[in-house]
Amino acid sequence: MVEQGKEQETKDFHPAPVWLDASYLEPLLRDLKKDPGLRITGLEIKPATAKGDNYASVMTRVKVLFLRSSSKTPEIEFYIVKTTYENDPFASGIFSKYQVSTTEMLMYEKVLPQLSALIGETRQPEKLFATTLHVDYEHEAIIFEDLAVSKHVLADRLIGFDLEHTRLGLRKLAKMHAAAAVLNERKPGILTKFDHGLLNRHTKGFAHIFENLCDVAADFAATCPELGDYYARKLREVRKRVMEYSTRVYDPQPEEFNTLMHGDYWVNNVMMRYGERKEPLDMILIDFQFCSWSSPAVDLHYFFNTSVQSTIQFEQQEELIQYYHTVLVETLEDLKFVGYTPTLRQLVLQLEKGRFFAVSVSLVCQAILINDQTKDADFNALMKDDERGRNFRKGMYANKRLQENLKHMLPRFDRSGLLDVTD
Amino acid sequence: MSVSDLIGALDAIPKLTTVPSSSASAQESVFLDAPEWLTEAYLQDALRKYYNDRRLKITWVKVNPALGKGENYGGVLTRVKAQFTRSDGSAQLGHYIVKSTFEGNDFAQKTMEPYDIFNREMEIYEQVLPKLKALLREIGDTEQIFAETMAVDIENSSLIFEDLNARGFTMPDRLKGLDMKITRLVLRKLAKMHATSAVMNERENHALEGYDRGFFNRYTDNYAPAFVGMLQAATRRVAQWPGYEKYAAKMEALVPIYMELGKRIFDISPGHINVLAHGDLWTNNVLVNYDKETGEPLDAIIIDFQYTVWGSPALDLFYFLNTSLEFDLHKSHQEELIAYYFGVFSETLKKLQYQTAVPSLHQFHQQMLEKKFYAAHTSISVLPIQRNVETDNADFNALMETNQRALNFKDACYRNPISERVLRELLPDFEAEGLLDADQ
Repeated sequence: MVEQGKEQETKDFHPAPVWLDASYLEPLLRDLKKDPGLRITGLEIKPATAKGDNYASVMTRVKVLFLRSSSKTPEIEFYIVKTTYENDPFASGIFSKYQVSTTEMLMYEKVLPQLSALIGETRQPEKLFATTLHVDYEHEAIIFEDLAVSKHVLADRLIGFDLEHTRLGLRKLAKMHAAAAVLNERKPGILTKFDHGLLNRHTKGFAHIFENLCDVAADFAATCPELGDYYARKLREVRKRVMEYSTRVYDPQPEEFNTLMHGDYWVNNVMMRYGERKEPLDMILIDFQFCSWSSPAVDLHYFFNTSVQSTIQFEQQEELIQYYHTVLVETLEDLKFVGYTPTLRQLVLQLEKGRFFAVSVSLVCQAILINDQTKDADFNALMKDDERGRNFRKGMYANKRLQENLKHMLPRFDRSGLLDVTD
Repeated sequence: MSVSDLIGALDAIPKLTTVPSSSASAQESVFLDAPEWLTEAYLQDALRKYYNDRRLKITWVKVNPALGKGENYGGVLTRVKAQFTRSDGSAQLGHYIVKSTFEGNDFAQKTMEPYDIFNREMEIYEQVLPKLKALLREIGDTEQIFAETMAVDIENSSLIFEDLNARGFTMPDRLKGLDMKITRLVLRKLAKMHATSAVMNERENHALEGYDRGFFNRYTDNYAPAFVGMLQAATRRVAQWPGYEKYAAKMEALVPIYMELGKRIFDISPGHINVLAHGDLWTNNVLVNYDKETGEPLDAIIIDFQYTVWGSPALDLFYFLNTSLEFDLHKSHQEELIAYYFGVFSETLKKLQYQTAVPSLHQFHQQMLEKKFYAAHTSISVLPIQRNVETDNADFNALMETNQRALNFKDACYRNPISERVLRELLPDFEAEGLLDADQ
């Protein structure tokens, strides 16, 4: 029995997958609960992604009522079904080059459960991911626990993380990174094969986004009194090499510490749980479409340049990297990792080597992720070189928070030689 | 430690101030406390060689110590003023400084011996600096970086320089840090010195790479009691501050590995660009010429090449930037200053057609980061010596020994409010970057 949500809600939403019904879900639940006599007694399916929401994923909320074979009391569980949806052939064409669906399915099916098991072996185990119920390769669907039910919410991406949130985010990230290094050590190759991150050596599908936004940044610099033509000229040169220089940061170097990157580690890809006084209690990581085997520089520069408040980004990165390193090393030690564990100093040097990525993230990803103009906010507007696209991208750079950030960061990047094109 | 460091630590030596022009009536030669070989005949001979004028004749000479009486530990500075006539009949007044050894303190002699500072300085002044100057002239650059050498006397272990004091150069106040203007001036000179040295080394088949006895080297640990002793004094001080226990603990744990960490900075790192480093570049080894009216710094000269060593530019950059600057520059502007230095450095290399690959600014920045322990070492263990104001028992022995007097001297260095501020504000930064970790 399926209850439909109210009509006026569903017509603005993407419809739920047609194959999602009780006969589909019952065998999965029987398997999960190890009870062949289990029966589904009720099912509520509610679409959860509004039309116009982002890119190629569709989310559906499922409320399942069931009876175990030994019980008379019905139980309730909540799941999210995440599916790919071809709402825009242009967008899905690009995204499929990045293998986002395959990556995420593999992560939820094979990788995350193993990482969770490993973290369970450490001195301070904690939950990092939503529990996977099922991954369906045929339907390209992932079913996992609905975190909203356990009161997880998104934080405000326009404000960014304060110190407490940032430390929580780094603790979780460090544990994921450590567990992944150990997993690949125990099962060589299982994770090194992930190589379709946002920048990769297989496709430059997002090149237009990166290059266009460098140009817009240059236009902004030219009219900004604190920056001026000097920076405009430099940014136009950087534009020519932004893809190559950024991709180099992703290339794993044999003598360095590498592990599985989340690949898109920012505010909206973690779910927060808050206490009575709005204090952050816990955090769950979501959205594993861009995982790749690389240097921690990838996740760390991405996180610090999209997701944290300015004081933290400008003044507290060093001590926070130290904190991340402490958790990383502790976790590696707990799991008896025998591979190369970088000292703090070695990590610092490795991050400096990859610091061009902080530049591209600041100019490009940050602009997209903290964008506050929601009209015309879609993939085409990011990519296309038409008037609508140009206006949208120009509008992104009217964002005050972005402007203040770049006025401060560009001179710092320049002092380190990060805006110089040398090859 | 260089002679000038110790001179500075004492602060009993009057600063070299501009000498008022004397009346022309003094016609007799005067020799006050000069080394015995320093006679009028000797000086006339040296002047004749320098000016290549065999008929040059001294009219009179005034010689007196440039330092106060009794303050010598291995080096003597003598001021010479000489009136002489040239073969063309013209009269000239010359001002010179004579730097010579002195058989004084046996302990100091023995301790300094493996660092070979006197021979090295003479060699540098005689054979190296003139070539660096020639390289600059090659590209039409007329800047003066070093004092003009008048004579090098190996036999008497002495050097004669032009007396820069007479040209209006003075030593900046070592208790105050240098401001942005002077700092940039010095960095410009340093960059040109480094660049020309790299080119010279390339053209002369690695001739400069034999200079491998800097403060930390693979031959001797004789200065360990000074460096490690200062670290320990710093630790004692820091441990007294509430909230700083973890820094004191880390500093304590560094003791067994401290000398090794220092040596790694001086080791040649593969792939890095290397230069002839001054080795002891701080306020007291810089002379500045100020505009008489505005007080603006016009020019700077680098002196004292006793600890010259082949290695990373970091050896000079971190040493200078972590001992000699105003606090705000020291804490927050080093990266920008290094970028300024690098602009002059790379431009000079390019003009001289340096053949080896020059790093990009970011690569250079990364190379400096690999050597950044030296910034921590200098801020913690060297700056406090140089800013010390309790000078009663401040001498070479106090620095190098481990007795009570030596401990007292070192503790005094850390009572200085400037040293305290540097430690309080910079230790957390160093610690956060892993520079206080025994396992780096």
